[in-house]
Amino acid sequence: MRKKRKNIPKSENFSVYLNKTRNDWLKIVSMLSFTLIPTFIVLDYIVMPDELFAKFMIFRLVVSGILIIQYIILRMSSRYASLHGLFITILAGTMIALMTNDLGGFDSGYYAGLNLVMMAVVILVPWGFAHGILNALTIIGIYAIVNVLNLHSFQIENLINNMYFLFSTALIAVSVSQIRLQLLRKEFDANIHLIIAKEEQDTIMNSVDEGLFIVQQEKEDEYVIGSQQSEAVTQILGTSSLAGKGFLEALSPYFPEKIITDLAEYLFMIFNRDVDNDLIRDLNPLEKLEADIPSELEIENKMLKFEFKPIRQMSGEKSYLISIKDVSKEVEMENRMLNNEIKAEHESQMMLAILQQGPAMLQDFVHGVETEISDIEKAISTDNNTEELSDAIETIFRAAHSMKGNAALLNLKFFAEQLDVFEEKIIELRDSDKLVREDLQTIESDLDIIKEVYTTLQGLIKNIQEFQGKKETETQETALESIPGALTELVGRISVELGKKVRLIAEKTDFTGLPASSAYIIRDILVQLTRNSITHGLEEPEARVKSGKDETGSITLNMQPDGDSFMIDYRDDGKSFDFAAIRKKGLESGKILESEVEQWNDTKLLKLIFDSGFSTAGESTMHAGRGVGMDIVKQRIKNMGGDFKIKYRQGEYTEFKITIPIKVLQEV
Amino acid sequence: MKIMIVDDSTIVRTVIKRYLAITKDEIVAYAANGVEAIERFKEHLPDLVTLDITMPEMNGLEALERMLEIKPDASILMISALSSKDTVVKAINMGAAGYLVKPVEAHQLIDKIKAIKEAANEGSGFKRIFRWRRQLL
Repeated sequence: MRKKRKNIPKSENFSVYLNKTRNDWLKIVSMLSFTLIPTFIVLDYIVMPDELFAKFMIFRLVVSGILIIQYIILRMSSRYASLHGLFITILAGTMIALMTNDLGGFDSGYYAGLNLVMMAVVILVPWGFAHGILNALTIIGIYAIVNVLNLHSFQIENLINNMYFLFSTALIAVSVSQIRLQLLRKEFDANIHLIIAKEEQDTIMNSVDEGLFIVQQEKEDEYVIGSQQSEAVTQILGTSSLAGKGFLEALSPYFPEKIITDLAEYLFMIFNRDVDNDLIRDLNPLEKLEADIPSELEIENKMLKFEFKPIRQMSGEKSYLISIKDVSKEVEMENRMLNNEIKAEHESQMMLAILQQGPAMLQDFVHGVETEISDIEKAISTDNNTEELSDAIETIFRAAHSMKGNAALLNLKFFAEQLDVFEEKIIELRDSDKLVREDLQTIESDLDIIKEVYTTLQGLIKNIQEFQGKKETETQETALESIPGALTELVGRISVELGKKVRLIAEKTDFTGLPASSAYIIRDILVQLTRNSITHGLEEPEARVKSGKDETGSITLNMQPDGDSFMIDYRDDGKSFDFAAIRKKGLESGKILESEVEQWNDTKLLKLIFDSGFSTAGESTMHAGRGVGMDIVKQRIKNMGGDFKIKYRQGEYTEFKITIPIKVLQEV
Repeated sequence: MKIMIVDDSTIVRTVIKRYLAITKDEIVAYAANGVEAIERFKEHLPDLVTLDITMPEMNGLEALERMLEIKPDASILMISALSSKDTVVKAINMGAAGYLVKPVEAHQLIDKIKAIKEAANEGSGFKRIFRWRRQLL
């Protein structure tokens, strides 16, 4: 019945409201009148003199007819309420006054009907003082005028008596009318407050970032969500309204079952036990946890934080205001800060490592990494058949492994670790049955991480070089000469990590005729050989002592030009090749067939080591086990048109004699 | 108030005993596991028990249930690790008076005991009537 009225001044608003209310009541008065007036015909029939009955009946029917028409008008329009009121007053008043006149004027007791009119019109409709008095006086006035105009003889006491009653009724009716007007005003103000409050509530509920709603306990294990909730609820949980639903049921799609059972216990506690705010807060099972929110296309993972705030409702029942916050961003930020801390730690570690290295080594390292990364990028962009894809994977693998070796050489732990992770991914790809081009692209993002670390590293190196004020030409000359020193450090680090004792002895190092740019290749070969020696060949100190050797193993190195070639003589005094292990591994990997195992002699097995992907290390570690080291050595030497020979004696030593044409090294 | 301390760690028992010296309450019994706790409980019928949740023989929840069967108005304070929120909730639902997080601190324990005493006093006579009246109004 009452419409929401917005943006209309309050006073004007009230007059519209008042008019509407008066109109509603006038309809009732009108209806009462046109039903009651004809029913009095029955009374007339009993008490009236016969000659008057017909006349009164006509009065009543005519008046009722007019009132019906008025009722129709009242239904159509709510304007002119006060005129309508006055009209009823005059119409019914005149009719009754005329009747009293016929029945003996002021002496007649029929004036009582006027009281009814007064009560109906003035009491039922909230006019207030002024209009109430106007109506009441109109009725009394009509009564007086009609009976004076056609004056019958009367007793003055009767007139006084009648007037006494009429005025008393008028007083009561007007007072009630005034009070009703005041009440209406209050009712209106209260409604306005409610509307404004509701609007404010809606605004708050639609604009807060928190999901808010109230939960009440319906039965022992039933907790029901209230009718009001903030807009954010649907945004956070990605559902339509939860109003009227069970709280546990509403949350069950988002959390594991264990959480929901814990929540049920918790709800039972907060609703049925005497708990204080600390307890409610401390035992909250939904304080920051992961939720799977189904959105339009996918399941989104959010971190949600629920809070339970106790509220006492007017009814005295306990209920809780639940607030839900999406704290994914905050949590992500926390994690990112943590990551940044770790990153900063890595950077400082790398910085320290760089500071310990000579500029030549660094220069050379940067150059090498750049070459390897561009090799990897080239390999990734191959768009050919499966066979070439697996070649590409091998190339990437070799490049990554080589970079890792060099990073380890310079003690750039973080970079080496990242490359180790990268290798792990490539191994996964290599081992997958069906390799497709798209698979290669998946490692692009991993390569990006490597590149990012490398860029940081490069920046650090550049800064340090600028700080140290070294010139590039100066660094070029020493790149080769720094190899033995760097290898010694590498040997020191790896042997400590693997619990071995090893020393490197560089006997002859003559790089005459070699350009600085060849340092990278030579070092790469030596790094792989060294790692291989320490991991596979050289024994633990106790084992060495047992077999009568010095507890410290040694690697002896001779490098010098020999005619047209550059010669590398590499020797370790370890236990040499473990052919039993190689055979076993060969069988496991399917490279050796069970039926042909007899035919595999030591020489044949040795060749197997130089196959890509073959390693006998127990498990893959940072330093060995990937099965790529010996393969790199072979590939590098072959690529340079060089050659190598292996000499070994079981339990005593392994020796590599490598020759590379100097001409080729000069062209690199 | 008669107090009983149940914990499998001697250190915790000693620490709580030392804290309780401040409140001057009488410690009537100690127990190191659930089974022993129930026996001592029957014997002494203490008003307040500090009960470790994780114990050998019988866990804290079971012991709690038995104790409340024997003496329903006993106040039982659960002592728990921070990680076992769900067990604490269960204990409170079963009728535990509250809980304390390990390592227990003196003021924590003393505050809880004070609150329990007040609640016990409020449970009788005029105070209860006044509380009802307050709630009704």
